[in-house]
Amino acid sequence: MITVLVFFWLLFFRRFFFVNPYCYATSEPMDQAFPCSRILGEWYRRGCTGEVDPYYYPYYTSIPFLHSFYPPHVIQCYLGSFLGLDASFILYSFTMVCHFLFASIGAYLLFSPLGDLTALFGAITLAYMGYNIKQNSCINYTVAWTPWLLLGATTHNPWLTGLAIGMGTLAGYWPLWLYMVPFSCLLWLFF
Amino acid sequence: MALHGAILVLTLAILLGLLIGGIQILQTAFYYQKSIRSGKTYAQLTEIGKVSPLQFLRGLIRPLPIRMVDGLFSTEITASVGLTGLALAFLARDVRLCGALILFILLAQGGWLFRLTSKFQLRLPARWTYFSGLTLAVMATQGFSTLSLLSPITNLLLILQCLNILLIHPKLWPMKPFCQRIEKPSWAFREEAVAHLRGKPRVQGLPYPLTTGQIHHIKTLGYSGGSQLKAMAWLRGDTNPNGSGDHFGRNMAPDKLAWWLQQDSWQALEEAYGRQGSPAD
Repeated sequence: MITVLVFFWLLFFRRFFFVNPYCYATSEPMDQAFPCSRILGEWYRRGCTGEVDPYYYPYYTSIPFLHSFYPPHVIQCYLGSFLGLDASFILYSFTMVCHFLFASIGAYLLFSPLGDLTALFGAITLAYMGYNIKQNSCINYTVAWTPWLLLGATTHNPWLTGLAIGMGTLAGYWPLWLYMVPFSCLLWLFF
Repeated sequence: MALHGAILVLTLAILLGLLIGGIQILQTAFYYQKSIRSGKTYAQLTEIGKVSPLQFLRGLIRPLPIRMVDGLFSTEITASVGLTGLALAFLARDVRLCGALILFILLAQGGWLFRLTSKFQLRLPARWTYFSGLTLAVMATQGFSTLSLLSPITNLLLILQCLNILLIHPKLWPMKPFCQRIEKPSWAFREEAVAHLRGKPRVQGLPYPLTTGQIHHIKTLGYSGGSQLKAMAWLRGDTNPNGSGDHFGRNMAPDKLAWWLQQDSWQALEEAYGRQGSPAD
């Protein structure tokens, strides 16, 4: 079933994988998120010394939606800082796109007690629902942890729940996440 | 007793989450008081981004990025789970989920319920659409599960759902026609495009996608969105409580601009704001 999810993921992002790897090189990813990822990568390469961004974002690491400490983003920014602009942008887009696959696997596991086909249906419906398809990396990263948080809460797994709460917090779209966490707590207690 | 045990383990899980996310939480707590995000009133929170039931329904049935809804791109208010998913959601028999869906739709409207809870609201009412979508996705899966005994039908429904999502939802990103032309980054950010800006007091308002100055290390007036520094909004003369009121610093006195371009840290701006005098003082 995971193979089916990978296949669906490739089909969903067919433009990126098979037509034009720069198909997301427009709007917010280009005028904010990608330049931010470059400047953060440079800061990590400098060994986290000095101001992160003297050009645009004051107190860069304090702004949650720039996800300065979110591990996949940090790795992407660091590696991307060694690459040219084009390759670095492809890596940035790939990191965003990978989060949808990650979300679908979490959703599949969440719904798996209902049977394989139902879990597959749920995974595709939840991971690729309209609201999730956003050009903002902070939203993509954050909502990718929702199925894992729900999985942790419904299976009463403290490690997974804690990890999901922490990673969602680092991913940085708090207007969603700060409500998601209490809901998952209610699920934990009353599901 | 069982509930006590559950609460204890849950508390440990939350503590683990706080430990992992703590570095961001601490830094943001420090920044929040400095930004225009803090202390917003109900009127400021609901200035844009209210989703009426009709608009919500449109976003469910036709989630295409073709219009603006109360100041937002229509993709920001879509709870679409596909038409097959929507039909199956009606088969869900969970009263709690139905109740939650109604609650989220009401909150997204930005009406009395949002006003009642406005002290706990971080952002626009429209953000609650995410939770409506999430609830609908769970309801659709429950509905699918209800039909799962009829195998031939469920296979067909699964294929329909996949096709529906594969054909419609990829169109939500990038947000046509509200975005700029797609360009290779090496072309869009080419040095020739910014050569004429160097050494001149051009600030925010650089041509897209050079808005931020980060790629070419050009100083700008800084971020002007909803979480911007109070100090920067003051320097720029931006009176819009949602930020983005004046990207270009049109209300900014020339001496302020010249002063800012000579500074090499955000702290200098903070100190000038603290004095509340002319930044050049």
